[in-house]
Amino acid sequence: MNLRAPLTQMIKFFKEKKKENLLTGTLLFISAVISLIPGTIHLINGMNGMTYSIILVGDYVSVIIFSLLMMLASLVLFSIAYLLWEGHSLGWKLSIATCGIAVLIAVASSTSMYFAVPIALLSGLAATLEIRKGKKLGNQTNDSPVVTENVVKLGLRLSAITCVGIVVAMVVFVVVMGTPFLSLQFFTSMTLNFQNVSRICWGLKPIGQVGGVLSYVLGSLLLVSFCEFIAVPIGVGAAIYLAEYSPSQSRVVSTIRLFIETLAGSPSVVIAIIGFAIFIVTLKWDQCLWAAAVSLSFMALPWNIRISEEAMKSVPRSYREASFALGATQWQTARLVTLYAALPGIITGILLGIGVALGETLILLSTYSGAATYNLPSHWWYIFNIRQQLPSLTVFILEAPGSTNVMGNIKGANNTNVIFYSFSLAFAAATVLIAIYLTLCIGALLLRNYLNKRMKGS
Amino acid sequence: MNGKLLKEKLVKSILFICAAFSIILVLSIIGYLAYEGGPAVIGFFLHGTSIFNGLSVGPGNAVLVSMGTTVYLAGGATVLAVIIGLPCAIYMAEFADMRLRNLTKTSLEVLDGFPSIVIGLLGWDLLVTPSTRYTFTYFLHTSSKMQFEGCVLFGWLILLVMSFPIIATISEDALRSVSQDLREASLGLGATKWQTTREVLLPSAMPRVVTAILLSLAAAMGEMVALNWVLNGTITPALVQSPSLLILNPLIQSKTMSILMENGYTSAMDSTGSPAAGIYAIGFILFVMIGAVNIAARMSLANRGKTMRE
Repeated sequence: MNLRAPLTQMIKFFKEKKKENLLTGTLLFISAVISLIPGTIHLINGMNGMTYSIILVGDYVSVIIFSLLMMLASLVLFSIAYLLWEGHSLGWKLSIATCGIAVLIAVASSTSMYFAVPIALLSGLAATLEIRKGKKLGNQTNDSPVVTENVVKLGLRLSAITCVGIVVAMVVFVVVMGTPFLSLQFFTSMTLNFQNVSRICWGLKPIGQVGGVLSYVLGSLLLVSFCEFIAVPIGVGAAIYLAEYSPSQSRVVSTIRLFIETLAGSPSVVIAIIGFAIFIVTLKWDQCLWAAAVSLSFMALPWNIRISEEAMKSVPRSYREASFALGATQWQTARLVTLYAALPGIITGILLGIGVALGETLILLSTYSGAATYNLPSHWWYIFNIRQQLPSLTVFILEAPGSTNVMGNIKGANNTNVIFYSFSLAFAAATVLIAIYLTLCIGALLLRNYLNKRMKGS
Repeated sequence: MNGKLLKEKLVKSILFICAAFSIILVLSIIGYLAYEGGPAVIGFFLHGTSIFNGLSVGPGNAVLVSMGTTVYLAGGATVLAVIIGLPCAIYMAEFADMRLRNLTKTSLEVLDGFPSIVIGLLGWDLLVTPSTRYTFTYFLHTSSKMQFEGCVLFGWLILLVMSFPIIATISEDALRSVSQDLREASLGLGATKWQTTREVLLPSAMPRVVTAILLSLAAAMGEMVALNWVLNGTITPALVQSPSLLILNPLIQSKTMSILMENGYTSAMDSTGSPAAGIYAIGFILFVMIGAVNIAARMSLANRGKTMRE
């Protein structure tokens, strides 16, 4: 980013010494400095406490984020000052916004009021001065489009970087919080029997740990694969009908689309309750594979339809015309030409859909795993039993924190450290979930990029 | 030849059944919810009878409060998501170089389907746990250090993470699909890139952006798992006794309809072991609300088609 431009502007300004600009600029500068204080204090306190108190890691990370946010605020303030020096109309708008945020902070929390009130006063004063100045000058604004362009570009870039940063920060934080439990065994062992969990949080090796969450992973994968067995044929069939057989503007098709979108948007809690009502209440089954697979496929169906239809629509029209010209029927064309050409796209979509379905919790809670299902059945054919509850990763993450059942499986867990152990365990399980999700997701995206390139090449 | 024709027809009807399957599904979901919860809904709105029929979930006002909270929470989160997501989309579509664009797009797509339970877990650990250590002062009624089990503000932050990827990805597609001629004409007249984006591209992409916003609003209204971690307290008693503008305080504890449903179906069973009619009633209201938002999103797209033809 071009940092030299603001600097030269500042130097230029100090040479020219406009008095009214100097006043507002100073006001904002002071308030920016004030806004830096609480963040810095929190940061220093956090760093001091970091080494010996592990359970508070979450606190400190949040404190660091908080202080970074405060620094960001001051960065914004500095840029406001820069704008004011330029005589830009954005200046007073932004300082009013700063004032508003400061007032909000003051109202929201009494502890940060001592900082927020002066900031609000100073930026409010600056805004009034600027507005008065603007009135004196008349309505003419001397906004330079180039300055606006630069500032806007900086802001847009910051927001894009924020997006990437959120994902990276989330993944890193989950992994870091899970480290006391994370080892190779955690991924490969079927039993939840933790002998001696390392108490050291920051990436050191766990000692003598036996136990893992493989049974939960297997339970989740089993369910998702069954669900896709139901959802993919129906979904691809629907997509073939929508993409190949139907005139695009007909009323029937638009009705079908409307209902598909309604199904896609329907909240998972409603589907969970419906699944519970059908299978557990009415049919009097227990939670089992079949109930959950059918309920989950209600969610996966619209996803599969949408993805497959998009993939089929992207197949060039000339393929179909060539096939018809050779005398193929509509079904032969759809099956042998369009479906075949769209297959990579459909597979990508199914992979992504599996990733999304793995993260589903509520439907699994009501129809798949009871609150205390912690093991796979003793014989593999029991999984088809309608009375057999099965373990799943997401329900485990939901239930693990504070659960006495889980805590019984960790040697050394007691009432005082239960929060630390249970949340670390939940985060470790979440790490496994994220690892699977990211593998599927990034694999699918890479596959798509590769196929796109190959398509373009041919 | 005749057999071939027959096969074609058979296949076509099978495919049609596949396509119409979602119609059957949605209609039966609505029908079931209406059958089980309809009387409770009618009784509640017309005669003011409690929707929970004397069960221990809470007084009837809890439903009104949770309806208000759902709309307020989803609306606020969507506003925040537009503030972050739209600039992101503009940057990706207009300003970024290829590498940064791909990076951003990939991370948005990853975030789009991110397991919501993990987001909720993070929210609990980053927002709720630290906040129990600080003293908060309420907007209208002061309390010293409270048992903090989350508030609407935290719900906003959680939903923000979940809904800005939707807005950003769809808006980016919308901005990219604006014809290149418009862009070139504007730049040729001497406008800067930002002026082009603001005056030319955004207005013509607006219908699809509105669609994106409505879709993310619908998704936010139905979200439950992630929110359950940061809004798992009880509804503030003052709020239940008299639903008032106090609901607009972002630091107040409340529940959305989906959380009320989830808590209800495990705790408010009747003697036969089935959930209370009130649960289905809330589900019916929620389903109708979300369906209305989805249909509005669809109509926004249809309008776009009309204006394009003109």
